[in-house]
Amino acid sequence: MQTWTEKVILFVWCGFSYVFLLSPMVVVMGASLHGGEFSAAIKFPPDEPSFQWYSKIPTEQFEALALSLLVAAVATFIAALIAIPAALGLVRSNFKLKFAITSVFRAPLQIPAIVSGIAFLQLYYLIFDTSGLMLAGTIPGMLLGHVFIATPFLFGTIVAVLQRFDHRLEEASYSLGAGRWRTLYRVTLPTIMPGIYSGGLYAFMVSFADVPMSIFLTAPGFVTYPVELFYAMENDFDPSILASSSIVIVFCLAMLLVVQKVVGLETLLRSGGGSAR
Amino acid sequence: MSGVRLDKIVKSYGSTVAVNDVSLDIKEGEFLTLLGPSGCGKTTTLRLISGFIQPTSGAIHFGNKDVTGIAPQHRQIGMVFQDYALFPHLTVSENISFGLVERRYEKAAIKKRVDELLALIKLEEAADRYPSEISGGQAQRVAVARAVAHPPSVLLMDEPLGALDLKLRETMQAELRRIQQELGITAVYVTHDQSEAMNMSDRIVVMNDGIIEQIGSPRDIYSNPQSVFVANFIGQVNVLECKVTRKKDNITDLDYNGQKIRAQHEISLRQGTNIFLAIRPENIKITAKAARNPQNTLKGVVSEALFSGNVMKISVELESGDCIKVECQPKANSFELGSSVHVNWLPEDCNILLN
Repeated sequence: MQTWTEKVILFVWCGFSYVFLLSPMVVVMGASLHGGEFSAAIKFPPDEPSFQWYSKIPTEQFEALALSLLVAAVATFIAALIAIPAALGLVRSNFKLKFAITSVFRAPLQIPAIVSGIAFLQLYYLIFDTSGLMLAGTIPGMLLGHVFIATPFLFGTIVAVLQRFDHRLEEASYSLGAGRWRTLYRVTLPTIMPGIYSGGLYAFMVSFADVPMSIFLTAPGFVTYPVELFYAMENDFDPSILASSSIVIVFCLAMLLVVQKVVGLETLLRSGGGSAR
Repeated sequence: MSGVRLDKIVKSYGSTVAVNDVSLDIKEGEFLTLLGPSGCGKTTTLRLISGFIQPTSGAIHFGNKDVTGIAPQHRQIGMVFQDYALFPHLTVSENISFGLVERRYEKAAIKKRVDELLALIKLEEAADRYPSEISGGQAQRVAVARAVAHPPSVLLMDEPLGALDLKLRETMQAELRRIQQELGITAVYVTHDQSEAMNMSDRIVVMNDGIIEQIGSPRDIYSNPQSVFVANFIGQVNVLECKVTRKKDNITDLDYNGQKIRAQHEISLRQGTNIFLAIRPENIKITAKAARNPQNTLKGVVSEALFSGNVMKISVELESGDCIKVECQPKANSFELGSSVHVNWLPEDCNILLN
């Protein structure tokens, strides 16, 4: 049983943590409801609350948001196609270069995104010089960069799940007449699914929120959402940025809830705690 | 369904030989147990039969079919693992139907077979639960049902009761035996628990260091062990080192520490051979005074007396310094520590072991 003092300490500690984590979002969302005169400074709490700034969000931001969602979703999908077989192969094989290759897959985490961005841009110029194909400012070019930074997150969580994978599950499947592919489809993948989901969520968020690398791969009329916001903040701040941020915050929270509801707790419990971490 | 034949199977890993020249003929419908201490090669033998590993040399037949080199998914085996290996993402009935789906049964046939098996293992009410929501004993039964859903040529079980507590284990032994006999399936069972092997098996294969020490019915192995290892591994035994002094027909006279001992045994022995004499504790009588016709009688002192309910376990230190364990009825026998006693046994209860 918790004593009365323990309860108070727990309550206060948790209270501070939540305030610390949530207050920036509360401030942004509150200030977006500013209804008075235009002011270059954030007003919190808002006076005369209204939704006027929501109708003044520039269309470029919605276009950028659509691009970002598309890039993040496709990049996550491609990253999963790379990370799943890579993790399966590397966890289970025992060849000399295993550790070297494992660190290659983790390397993008160690390189500052801004360095990766410059490197990609240089690479694209080089490709342009030799073949006339321009990748910077195109969807494939953007995707390539995002796959690069997203893959390690999926790879890491899947490796973690696989290291605790009970190989007898696969043997049981073989003994029941399932071949290698059937076993992969009916036993291995469903068992590591929690790792794929949580790794995929990380990968999606990393891709969706990236500024330092994406900023090098954009072109006029081809800008991802965080980069668009970054430009907007730099040039002429107005509360419509707060409004658009608020929409994204609500969208992200909703997405998290859905993921949690659909695959989160349930799959984790079912696989006997075979979660990503 | 079919019998299983192992032909001079060898499995080595580098310079270590895990299974060394094992030949074995498992009859159709038989319950055969591979028994031995850990590292004796029993699990390796089972995995060779299942096809998860391939023998370095030798051949494996299921019935008339040579299955050496064939992958496990093409062998028609049923396998029950030590901690069940139920698929955590599938319900009890989905686990049981897994093999049926792989073998392309009709939907209706799958449902019928699953219901049948749920009834066989008495788990109808748990059909829609997940493995994390059922008990160890229930999981065990699901694992068996899954393994036999599509009738296998042979049912292989690798210490399937190891994770259960003692009481449940005894219930499950009877349960497994019942299911095996009801289905008439050939079964190979691996365990290191000799009482489990005795309870369940038609025949026991005692293994040690990658070789077969002895094959026989539980009764045969218990009463006629052919090596010191088998005698020691199956139940308690007293081993005395003796020398053969005379051999006539099936009666052998032995010398133990200057005293004459008579044994009845079929083995032909040359005079002067050193042998080991094995006697089970329950075949030894203990008396306060020397018997009137003192055959196979040795004198000693009670060094330990343990009362364990149905039996009295008494250790007697002989004049030679060896200790003899005796099991007897507690009612008729109460011996003080340190009191001097006589132990004796019948010539037909003697086992002669050469190594």
